Amino acid sequence: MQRLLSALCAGLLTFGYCGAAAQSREIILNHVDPQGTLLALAIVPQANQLPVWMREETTSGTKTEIGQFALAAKSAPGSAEHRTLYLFSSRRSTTDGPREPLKLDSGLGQRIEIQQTTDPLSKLPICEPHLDQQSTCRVSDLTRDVLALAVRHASNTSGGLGALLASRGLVTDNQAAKRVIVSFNDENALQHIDFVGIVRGKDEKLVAPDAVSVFVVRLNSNGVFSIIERRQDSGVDAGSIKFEGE
Amino acid sequence: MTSLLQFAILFHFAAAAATAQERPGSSPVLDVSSFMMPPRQTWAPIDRSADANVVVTENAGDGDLGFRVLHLRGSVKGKKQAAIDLARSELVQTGDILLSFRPLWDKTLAYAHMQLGVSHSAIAFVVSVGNERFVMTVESPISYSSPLNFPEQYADLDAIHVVRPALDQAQKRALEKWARLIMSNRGRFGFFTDYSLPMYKRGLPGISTPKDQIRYLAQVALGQTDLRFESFCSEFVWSLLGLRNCDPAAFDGACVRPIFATGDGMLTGLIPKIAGDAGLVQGPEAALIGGKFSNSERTAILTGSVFVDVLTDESQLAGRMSVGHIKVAKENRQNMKIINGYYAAGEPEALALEMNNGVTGNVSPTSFLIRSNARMDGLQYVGTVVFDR
Repeated sequence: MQRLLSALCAGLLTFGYCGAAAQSREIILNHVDPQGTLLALAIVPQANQLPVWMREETTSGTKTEIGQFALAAKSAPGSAEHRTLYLFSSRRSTTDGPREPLKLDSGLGQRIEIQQTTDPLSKLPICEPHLDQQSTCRVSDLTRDVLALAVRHASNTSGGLGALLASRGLVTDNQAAKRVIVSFNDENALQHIDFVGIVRGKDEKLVAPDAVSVFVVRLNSNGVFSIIERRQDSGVDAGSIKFEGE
Repeated sequence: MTSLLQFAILFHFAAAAATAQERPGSSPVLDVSSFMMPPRQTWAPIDRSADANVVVTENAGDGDLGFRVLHLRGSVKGKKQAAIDLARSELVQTGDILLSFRPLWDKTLAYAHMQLGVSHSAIAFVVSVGNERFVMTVESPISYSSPLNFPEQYADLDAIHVVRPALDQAQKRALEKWARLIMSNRGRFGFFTDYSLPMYKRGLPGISTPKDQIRYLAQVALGQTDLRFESFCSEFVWSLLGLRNCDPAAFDGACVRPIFATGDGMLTGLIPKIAGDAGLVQGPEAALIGGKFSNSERTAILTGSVFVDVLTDESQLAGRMSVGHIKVAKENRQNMKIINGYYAAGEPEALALEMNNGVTGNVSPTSFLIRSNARMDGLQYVGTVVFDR
């Protein structure tokens, strides 16, 4: 446990999230908080459709915060129900009555559920990146920052992500591995978030099992979605190559 | 039983260190189970990195296992500059095998563990254009061949193992000539998606043995046939290396020699106790033996951590591997249980032989690391490239 936490902290430090020297950096959320990655993949594209009780946010200094999320403990052995359940608590949780669980399509062929709770989640241990979690654990603050950005700007987007994809001739990709890459500028402010492997071109062929589309969905710091098309930074003309022995 | 033993192996999942540059430090990206790490005794001796942009450290695992880590800048990931930095470092050489390593496969599914997190293989050439030297890959899909910057493959690749075959200068020059022919005739090469069906088993005319595959690669490269060479990544690398003793200008087929010194040049499933050989499923076992784990420790790890599904929530898996990889892993779930039982039973030879009856000789991307872990065929682990500086 301690080793994993150290590794997480070391990872964050390496990538400049724990207050390290200012430098433009990326953090791959899959590595530091895989449990939060799924949450981000499910919530961010649909942030403008979230119920009010989840969209509550607060501003602390210059930072927008959202309630706490936790990955619920596994169902009892033998349970027929196969789902991923997250818990959510916010200040509103303690004043409102219980809500119906929110069911979201994760875009990965399965639904996740988010259930409001009045239990304090902030004191739960952070989810360990490398283990199939057996007990309730809290997703990272980094994931919460990602979610807060999406929620904060959800009402600003016109037509949402779906309209953008349609306008670009992109479709949901249900084959590639998904990645969430969080980028910070040289002042350690969250710059943008890239969602890799969630869309592909309508006619784009991905030949190998490892292949990932060149199209990436980007959520900018102003809450606007855009599409990035990755290209080779430099091509090579085979005829111009000289091998060592030539 | 037999059908259970029809391994759909090998999908795309596909010496003592001499560096004076090692220093404390670790890469969180490589914080994986020790069985995924190569034994130190299999590490190739290397010189100091000749480029300040490539820093060499070690990640120690349990026992005598670990990674030699070649740290590149995060900003060069998926960029040609990574290929330039590696060429300047002189740590990657012509003929080296590059294995795509997926650390996120650790603690997921038994099949992914068995593959040591390796999903893809390519072969490296140090080339130059004008005054600029860089590492150029040649691989299948042929479109991936690039200075480590083809987006579909390299933009999101966290780590690359470098495994070095024992090649003399003449063999490197021969491989360069074949690579020249291949790169000049890309249209003759295609990607074959079914890793369980090697080329020599596809009913292609004149291709009924593994060696035929290698000869066929030469014929296609030389333009002696109008047919295409359609291969998955590892059989392409394996076939190309099989031409290392051949001069394209005087190719007669007699020079063909598979890189693996097995009966037919390919690997079977299980060799009891890895006696003089190592099969397709034995990468973790070879690592643990090389890592000097006791017999009981090795059995405990193989049955308790390797050949078990740890993460079964498919939504959570989607952030770690593609749907295609998950599918193959699920299809092989029963096979993985049988292998678990084999190790739990003390590795009985009779069971291994029975299981091998259902295995088609093949070559997976992991094969090159398996043989290196087992100290076979002259293959040696050089290091693992990560982009974290």
